[in-house]
Amino acid sequence: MPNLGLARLSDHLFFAAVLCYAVAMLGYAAEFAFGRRAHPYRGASVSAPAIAVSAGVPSAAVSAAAPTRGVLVGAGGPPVFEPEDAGGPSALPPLLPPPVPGGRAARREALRAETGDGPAGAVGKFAVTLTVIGWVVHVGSVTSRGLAAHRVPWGNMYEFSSMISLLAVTVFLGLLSRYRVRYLGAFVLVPVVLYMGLAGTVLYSPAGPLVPALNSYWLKIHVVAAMGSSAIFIVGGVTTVLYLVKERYDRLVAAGADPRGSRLGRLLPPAGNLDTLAYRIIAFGFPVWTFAIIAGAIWAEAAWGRYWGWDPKETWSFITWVLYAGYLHARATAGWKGRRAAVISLAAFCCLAVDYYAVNLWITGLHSYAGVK
Amino acid sequence: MTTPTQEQDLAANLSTAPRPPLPRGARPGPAGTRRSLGAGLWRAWRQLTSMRTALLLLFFLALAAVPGSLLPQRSLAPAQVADFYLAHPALAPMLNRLWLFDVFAAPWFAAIYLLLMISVVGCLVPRWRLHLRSLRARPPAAPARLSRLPVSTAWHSLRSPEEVVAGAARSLRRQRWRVAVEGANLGAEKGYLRETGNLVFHVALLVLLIGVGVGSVFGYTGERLLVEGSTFANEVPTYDQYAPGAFVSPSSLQPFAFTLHRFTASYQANGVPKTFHAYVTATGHPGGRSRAVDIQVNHPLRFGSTEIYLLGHGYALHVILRDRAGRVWFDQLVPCIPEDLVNYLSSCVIKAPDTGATVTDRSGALIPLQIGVLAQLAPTAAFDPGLGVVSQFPALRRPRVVLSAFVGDLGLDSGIPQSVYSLSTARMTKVADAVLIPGAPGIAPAEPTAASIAPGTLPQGSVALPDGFTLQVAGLANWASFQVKDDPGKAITLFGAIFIVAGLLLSLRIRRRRVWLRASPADGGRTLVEVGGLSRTDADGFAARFPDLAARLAGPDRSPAQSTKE
Repeated sequence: MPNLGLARLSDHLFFAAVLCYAVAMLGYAAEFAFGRRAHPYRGASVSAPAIAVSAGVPSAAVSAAAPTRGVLVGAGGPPVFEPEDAGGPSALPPLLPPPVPGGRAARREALRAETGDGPAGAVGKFAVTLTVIGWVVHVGSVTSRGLAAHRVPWGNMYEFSSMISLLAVTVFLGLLSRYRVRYLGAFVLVPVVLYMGLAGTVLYSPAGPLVPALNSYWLKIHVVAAMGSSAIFIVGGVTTVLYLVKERYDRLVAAGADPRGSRLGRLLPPAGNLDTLAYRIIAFGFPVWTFAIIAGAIWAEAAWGRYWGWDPKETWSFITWVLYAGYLHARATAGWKGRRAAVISLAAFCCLAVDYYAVNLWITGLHSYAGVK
Repeated sequence: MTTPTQEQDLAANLSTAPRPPLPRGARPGPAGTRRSLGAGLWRAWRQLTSMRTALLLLFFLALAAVPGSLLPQRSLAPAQVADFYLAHPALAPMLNRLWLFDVFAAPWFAAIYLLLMISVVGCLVPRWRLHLRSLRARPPAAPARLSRLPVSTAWHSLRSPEEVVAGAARSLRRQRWRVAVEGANLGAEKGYLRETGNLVFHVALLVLLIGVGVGSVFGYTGERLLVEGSTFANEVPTYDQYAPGAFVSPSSLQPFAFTLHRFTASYQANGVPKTFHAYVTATGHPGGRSRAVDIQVNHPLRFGSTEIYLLGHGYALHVILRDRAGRVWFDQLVPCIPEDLVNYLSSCVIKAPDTGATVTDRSGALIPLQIGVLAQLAPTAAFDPGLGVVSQFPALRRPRVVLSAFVGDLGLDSGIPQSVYSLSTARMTKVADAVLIPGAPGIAPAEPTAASIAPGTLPQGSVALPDGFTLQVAGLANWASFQVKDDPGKAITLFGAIFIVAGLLLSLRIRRRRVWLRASPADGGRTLVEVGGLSRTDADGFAARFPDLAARLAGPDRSPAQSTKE
């Protein structure tokens, strides 16, 4: 029997988490819109002056040389085609904070010191705090739901959505601790709040046991990997959209046209940074998605007798995988880097959304035990 | 064998820059035919193995899979395909000719992934060769001015140049760099696993596809519905559905048999199922020891490489047909197929071709009297004014059978095969309607009403038919359907899948970087040590880690009074 008290607590905490995220989203948006105009990242993505930072002993300086294309020196070295050589390393202000000796603590202190500025910065820092609070409350909601139902808290559409949103915020917070990406907050929290809103209203189902088909330890492995990689792809998708906005702004500016509709583009960081960030996020999530599909196949073998039957869910996750693979290939293909690759990645994300929503709710197959009647 | 220029050519082929259409390796022949044919083929091969083609093929693969998920597929849901034919009689045959109801077995789908496989193989072979060569080659020599590298630093050391270089080589080798020392110059490279991982991933993809192919050609799958009390032996004729691979012969099937004794299901209060148990006794070969097994979802029964899975379940009616004298002409458990998989409202078809009676048809000839019954079983029956009899819960809480009995010609002698689960009433006339409580004795038919469904009404277990026949539903039983699957390629596929993930992790996470060090004597007996580095991936991360790397190379040279290079 599900514990009704804990289930109610879980619902209240869920609502509180959505509130925290929504207010934090407004905070990020305020900092983004009204922050310092002379921020080094603002403006069009022309090549910035080389940033040389000095820091301590013994190797005192790391010099970012004048924009010379990294050259593969020496004979006999085979050409190495890396998907990340779009834009070159030294043409842009670095994504990472400048290197600070003394390890991670000192680096974090330097990051904290340089990113807070003025009232907008204070609002931004408050938004981060609120995001963390919301995250903790959300963890409480998911945990109490699991305790209420006496099982892992991911067994139906409502719980999937809640977990994926939690993981997306986790990914964002992880990125925040390593890179200067507070501007992402406003945009990442939009799908998070939407997902949770949908989950709490349309997709809600009360806490209860799992259907027999889900009673396997593979539930923890396959579904966790699928939710984790979906969360990573959500953050990557948001970053890709921002990249496309900025890239369009750059094109308009370069052509001398008046970028009327793209005030957002002016405020965003350089396009190359966004592109690299999006690539890193998606390249991090792609092996996880591959593993999720394979774990699902192994589970299908145990449950239904065949590891691949072109069930609609399997087919759409395959399509998503192929399109993300296409994105990774496009980044290594001349003529397909930049905007085209980003569009491919967005198409892949749309397929992911179809895989998650449309297949569960509209197309019937062996996967339709999402708990929504 | 390919010449060095061809090797370079192959390596450069990984880019999609335009190339002059010169024939390479084609024998000079009469101007025109042989030369241009060789050149044309070579150009076509280079096109096929280029990244751009791979990209396009990937798009086509994704696009081709879309109709396979939106249209009903014969391999998954043949009944839905039939419904589609009925709903769209003009469109369906056209779609069928385009293989859109069998997308994943279609020749055009196979063409796409076969081309992709060829493209991958054609790309892999030269890349493996290049990678093995680079693994054996020395790291490249340092550029003249290390300060021109993306990250660089320099300091003065009190040690001699040789000591500096030797110490740095030791330190780098400990961190698993590949180091080459030439006098006062040191070059080091790290991160070969990235390309290795990439190549392993693509090879593993091919291995996976080979495993799938082996499984589909040497394996088989079959389905069988078993009512409680029946036995299944693994022979081709006993299957309800049987789909063998191309090289599977009936004598190569794994011998086993099992009897279904009991099937139980438990449900939550809202009707969602909790557990299913199929209690069987299984034997591995004729006369062998039998063991009792409980087959559940996620827990198949295994015999050798063959596995038996619990697929679905339903209810069966125990139907007895008696004639005027009380002789039994039909006594079977008839499985009912659930139409509603939530509350298990099921439809049953009973066909009794031999009743010992005859009728005279219109032309005056004597033909056998055949009885057919269309019935619906509601496990927990309720009456809805709009829909009629509905079921409110999947378990047998208040079972009612609503049936219509027909008399006439079942059509079994027409030569056209019919489904056991459907009744053609074209040549039959309806003779009775009844609502029965299974297992209760008594007669008197009635139309289904709210009153007749309600518990505690006049018990009705049988219905009277013309010529003194009575049809009785004497009880209910469960049936369970099983899927038998044999896939010898499974291990290969799993092996490939593991290496796919491993290769991906290596190729996307490992960073390839190069570091050079030069120690030259400076004035004052000191040594000027210059260090520079280059990373093709994650340049920012490398720049962040470079000071630590340089500090470790500097080692004992830490001293506050150092001159720095900006």
